[in-house]
Amino acid sequence: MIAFSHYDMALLLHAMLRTIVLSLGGGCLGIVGAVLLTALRLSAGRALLPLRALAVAYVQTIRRVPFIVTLYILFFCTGMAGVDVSATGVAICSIGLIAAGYLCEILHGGINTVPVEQVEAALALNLPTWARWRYVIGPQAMSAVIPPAVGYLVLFIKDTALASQIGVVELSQAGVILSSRGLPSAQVFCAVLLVYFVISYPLTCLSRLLEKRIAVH
Amino acid sequence: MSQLNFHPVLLRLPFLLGGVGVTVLIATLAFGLGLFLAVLLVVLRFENKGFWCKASRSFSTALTNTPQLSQIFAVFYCLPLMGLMVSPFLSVVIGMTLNAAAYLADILGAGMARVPPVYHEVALTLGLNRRQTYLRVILPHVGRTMFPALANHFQIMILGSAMASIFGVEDLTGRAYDIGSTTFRILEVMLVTGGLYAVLSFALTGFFVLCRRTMERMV
Repeated sequence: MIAFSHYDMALLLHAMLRTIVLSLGGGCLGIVGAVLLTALRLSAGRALLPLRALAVAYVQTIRRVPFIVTLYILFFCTGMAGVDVSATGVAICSIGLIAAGYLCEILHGGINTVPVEQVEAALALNLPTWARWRYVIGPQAMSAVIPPAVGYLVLFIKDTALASQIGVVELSQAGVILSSRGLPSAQVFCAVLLVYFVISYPLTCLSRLLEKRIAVH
Repeated sequence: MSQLNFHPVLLRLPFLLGGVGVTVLIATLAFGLGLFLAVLLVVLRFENKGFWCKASRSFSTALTNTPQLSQIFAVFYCLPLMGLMVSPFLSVVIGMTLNAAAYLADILGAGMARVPPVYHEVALTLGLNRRQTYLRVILPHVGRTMFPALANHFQIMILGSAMASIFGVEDLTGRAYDIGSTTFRILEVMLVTGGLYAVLSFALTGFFVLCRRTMERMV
């Protein structure tokens, strides 16, 4: 006795796609942001000192503010500044901002796990900078970076549920809409939770697999 | 861009600060109840190899792979259908408790797996029964080794409790939204709120470091 009509299923499907777009967009933006932030934090030279301090302050602060507050700040900021961005765009940007903070911390921590002798050896061998990163630091840092990074990207999928608060019709909002249309709430929310599970569970398994395969013990 | 004006927000700062108390109350209640449930779940996992172990694991898998917001929505909309009329505050606490139990059970499980087998043997030799073994030997040890992970999850729950505002609970974010809709200074109030969350979180970090030091001195 499933009460969903064709239109309800279509809404759920669209909402699911929206959730995936939010997660993918935010995740990609976060990865790019994290690489830039980490590059800043690792940079040398006095001229970049203020920027370096700013990057550290950003990473420390953004991880201590609830996602929903970041979302509201960005939403009303773009509104007051008169920038015309869709709610989806704002949601992707704020997921990107948060993800950049968390992933930067993981990346920075991972690079710090590479023993300093390795870098010194690479310098002594006169390897160019790109080769030092490509062959020495990169492969060693990756084992400490990839598994937790995938784990956090799964967390951001669940954070996209909050985008409903600025008017993005994604899965959890679709649940509320269907429930308001008079469909049985229990079935609607079970369906929504199930779809989230279907998206998130394979990635959780992937994260666990990576942990077993490449993480250092 | 129009000018930022923090004055109306600062006038209502005491009201906003009261929200910090509600936020901490929600997170603490859900964390405490969640921890209690998690202990039950994890003992089931280690004491029972059959159905209950699988049930406990599935509970964690199901709740850690779905968003907390949808879980609270499910509680919020489904409990009244079962004839239980609960306040928004309570349904948020119930939803967060279930979610916390799933995550905390995984954390405690990782800790339990690392308890040396000799602890169980010693407890057995001393003639402690199962309840005493867990309460006096295993769980205190797990609590100590897993303290950083548990503290970290409490911080996550402080941030997660901001979801309560969506259900009309007057926590920090809820009160911020309230002030925003009466003064029309929503961006300013949200900036102040973000700052308050950051300060709260830094204070908690300090508190947990202090706890850790005291604990290490006691051992």
